[in-house]
Amino acid sequence: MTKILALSEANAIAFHGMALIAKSELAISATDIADITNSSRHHTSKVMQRLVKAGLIGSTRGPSGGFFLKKDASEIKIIDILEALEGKVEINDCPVDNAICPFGSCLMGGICYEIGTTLITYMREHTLQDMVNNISNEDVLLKK
Amino acid sequence: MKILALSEAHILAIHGLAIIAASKERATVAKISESTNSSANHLFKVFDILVKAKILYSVKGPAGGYFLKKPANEIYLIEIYEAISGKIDLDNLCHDKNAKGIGLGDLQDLCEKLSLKFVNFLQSTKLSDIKDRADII
Repeated sequence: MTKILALSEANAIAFHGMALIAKSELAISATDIADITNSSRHHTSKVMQRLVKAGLIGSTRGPSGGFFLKKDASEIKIIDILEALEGKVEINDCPVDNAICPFGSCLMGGICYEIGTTLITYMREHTLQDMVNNISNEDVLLKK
Repeated sequence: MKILALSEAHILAIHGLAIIAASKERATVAKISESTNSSANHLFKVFDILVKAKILYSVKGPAGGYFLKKPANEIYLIEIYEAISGKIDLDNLCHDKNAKGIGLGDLQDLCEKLSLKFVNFLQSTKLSDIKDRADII
């Protein structure tokens, strides 16, 4: 089945993983995140390492180790999480990034640009804190 | 980064069909690939898919080429999109493999809303609605 937005499984793991780290009272491991998000442990570990490399989270080793936020959730924009995985996000007029359009105006009538801009603007204006305020199932979170 | 999951194949299909619909003369793959600056090989592959999906038919020989199987005002963009990448899963428009139901609130709602907006555009736009902008051959 086809998806409409080009957000990958890695993006989804990163968003969910960051939200879980921000919301949990105990350090949460890649295995915990993989179990909660029903993703592969290997894939989850790779995604979390990218977030560590980007300086959004840190990790501690040991039995009670896990990931922690490197700054307050209200200081992490949602776009920071996406860009940690995808690099700098820019929305072009052309949905396939063609430098030169053979037509006078886009055949798609600009809807691709409009959708891209709406989503990226939201991500630039909202933080991880906004995201965790809306987690709908708190039962899965690790509590003291 | 692309936000919409639109591949080059989707764009070639939509552009190619719009050019065929708009063209007053026979639009060959060579002409379309030249005017859209795209690979003829890729265009052939995409058109083969559209033939299998009964959106196009092909005629061989010197006067041959690709032709629309039905009028442009009976072909919706959704049909073209789904011919290339398969049926859109309307019940699961955004990535959320999450088995334990941790929705991401407003972000997830926005993703679903934007996905639905694009699906509505594809469902309501006919090839005839965009062909006037594709009269380039």
